[in-house]
Amino acid sequence: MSEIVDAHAHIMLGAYGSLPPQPVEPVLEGFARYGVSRAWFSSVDALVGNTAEMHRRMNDAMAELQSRFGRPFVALATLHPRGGDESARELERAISNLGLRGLKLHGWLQPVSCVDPCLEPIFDVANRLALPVLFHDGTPPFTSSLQIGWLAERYPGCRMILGHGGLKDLAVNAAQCARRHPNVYLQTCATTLLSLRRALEITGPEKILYGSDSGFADPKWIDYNLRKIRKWNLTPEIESKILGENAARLIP
Amino acid sequence: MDRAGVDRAVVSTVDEFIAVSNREGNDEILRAVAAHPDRLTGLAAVNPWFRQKGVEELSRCLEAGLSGLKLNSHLQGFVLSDPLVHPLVETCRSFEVPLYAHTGTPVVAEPFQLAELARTFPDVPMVLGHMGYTDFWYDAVPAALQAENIYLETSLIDIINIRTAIEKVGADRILFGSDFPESDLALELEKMSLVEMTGDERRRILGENAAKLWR
Repeated sequence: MSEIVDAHAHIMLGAYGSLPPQPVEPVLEGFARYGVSRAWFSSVDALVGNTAEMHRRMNDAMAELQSRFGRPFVALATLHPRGGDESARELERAISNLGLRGLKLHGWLQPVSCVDPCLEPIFDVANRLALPVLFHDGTPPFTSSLQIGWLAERYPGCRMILGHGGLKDLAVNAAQCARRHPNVYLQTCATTLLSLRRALEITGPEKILYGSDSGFADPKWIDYNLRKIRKWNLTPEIESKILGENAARLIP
Repeated sequence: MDRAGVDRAVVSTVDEFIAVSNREGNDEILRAVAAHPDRLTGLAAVNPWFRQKGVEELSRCLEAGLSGLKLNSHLQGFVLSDPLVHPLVETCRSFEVPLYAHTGTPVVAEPFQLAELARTFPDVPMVLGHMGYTDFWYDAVPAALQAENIYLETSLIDIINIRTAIEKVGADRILFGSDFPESDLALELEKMSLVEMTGDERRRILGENAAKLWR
């Protein structure tokens, strides 16, 4: 069994709604407890706060965490979606200067439609840098799976990752999108087991990445999401691809 | 069910049998319930667009041994609170049986739409399926607080929201559900073991509440 990579995790340094702040060390211990050796993190604080200043500050903080914790911690950048050229420059700084590994966009929380032209300067940079871009997906009208497919066609240099595989209602669209576009992948969190089985038939095993959407609350959610993969009854080869190898190909 | 340690399940039909071929689907559920009366409780799926014929189909099923109504307004093509569905709910009231409604799919199957229906028919117990999973998890608890005849069903939803529901709505109005075959029965049961609750709350959520609802 190769390493387990959770390609959908969060850091939350401040409170969000009724959820208390989550110190980083216990979050990482939670992943390690369930055998997850590496996770892709984005900042809940930045996505919720969503000001240019907040994103800049959290990109700095994520870079510091990535540097402190090393390989287990993959940091993704966040940006103000309506910041135009300023956000594009911040992305360039976050990747080229700070060493962050990709971009996270949450069209529902931020909020912004994935087809809003305000994103063009940001995706011009993401495309040039050939970044993985992790999306919250499955939520109309701002971030449906096929809207992200439209971005994938326009920016073929990016690897677009559907963070929820279409959630429940748009799972069929997510699978269609991943089949149609060579640069679209989907993740396993919040998609039902039945939809994942169907997605595997449609996309093949190279396009599916394990993710838990954990890090901002009870670490048992990591346990649940791993149990979901194990209940899938995959061959060891396919399970290894989904649990880690596919993610390691996108972010070595 | 045997493998997962589940004694009894409330079952209904799926897909086109919910949407259009109600009679065929309901007959299958009737046969299953008749074959396993000690293990299965059956719900009738009826599309309200069949209007009076739908009411007749629901009455037929309830007289023949089914124990409630299953609505999936996403598959059936109506807004969950639309008066179109009232004759079916009135039939539930006459037979003193609950209804189960899929929720979580905008714009036709939202928790507050079920709350609107539940406030119109406060004497009909209504199960809010999947607690609004996925993106209507914000709405499930507030909807349940609007109408005391709403019960929250746990399939697919995450453990934080189940914990919140126990705190804010109370364990008496929460029902364990699996949504099998969309999810896995054992997986959903294992999920419940990850939710912190007292032994008494667990007993009620895993069985006693459903047993009271479907005597």
